[in-house]
Amino acid sequence: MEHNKTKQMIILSMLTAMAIILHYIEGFFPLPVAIPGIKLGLSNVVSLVALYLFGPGSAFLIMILRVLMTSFLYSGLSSAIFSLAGGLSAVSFMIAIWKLRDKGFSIVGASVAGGIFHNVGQLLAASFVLGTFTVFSYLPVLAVSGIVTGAATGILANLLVPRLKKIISIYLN
Amino acid sequence: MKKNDVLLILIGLFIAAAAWFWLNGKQEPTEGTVVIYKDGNVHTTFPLSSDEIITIEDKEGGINVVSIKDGKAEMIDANCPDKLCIHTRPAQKNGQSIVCLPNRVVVEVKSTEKDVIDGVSE
Repeated sequence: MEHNKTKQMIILSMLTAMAIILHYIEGFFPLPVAIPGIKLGLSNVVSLVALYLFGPGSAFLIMILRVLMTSFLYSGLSSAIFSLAGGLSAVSFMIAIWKLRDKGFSIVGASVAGGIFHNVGQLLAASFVLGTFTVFSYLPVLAVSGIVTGAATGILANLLVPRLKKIISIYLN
Repeated sequence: MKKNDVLLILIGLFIAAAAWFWLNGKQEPTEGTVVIYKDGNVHTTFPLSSDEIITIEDKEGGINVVSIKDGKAEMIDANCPDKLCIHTRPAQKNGQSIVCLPNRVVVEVKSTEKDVIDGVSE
């Protein structure tokens, strides 16, 4: 059992490393929004995969670690608030849809919800920093971009999760 | 992908489209006011028809220069690292805004007549 816990920790660490790299890569895809720090939310796909492999706790853990690491490594504390707001809101709504997985929602739905609410969370953070809700005029653009990235990463995760499950079950036994 | 996933996507797209039309629908160039916010507070207010160059400075060294001319408000200079605010399209219609997050400056055009969007953007 102890042995398996270590192995699970190794897998979660690898997933966190992937999330950090994805967060870095998404910096190369600026959104048509004049708010620096607002990101696509690609790294949420890792939390999504962790959610369907290990459950909500791991999804949250990876997201928090990713926010901490990326803000220390390159993006700085000022945009950590966007990462954190986007990540918290994305993962929360992913978990909500994950709980409804027997009621006609698949991992794609969870990913889309995560994509949309990642951006809603970031806008809430921006309006908090700026003291005005004006930034919500970017919501239509960001909602559509969240749906598109969410659907794309969801379809990817849908292919990835069953394969990873197989590999991990062999690894853990 | 299951049935409810598709439903979720469609509802999301519908809300985005509705919000877009609501925000952009009735935006005839108005007898507007340019409101400049700094750190979340109203810094200055000018009529959109004025001809002004406004410099907004703060103690931390943040500088933004806003120009109001020909019924348009534009960020013409800023010392923020990313310069996104300078590249934002000029604001000329009700509800349009220019945001400079590093210096916490928002330039917003508001219709002088009270309307729906005012209530929301407050």
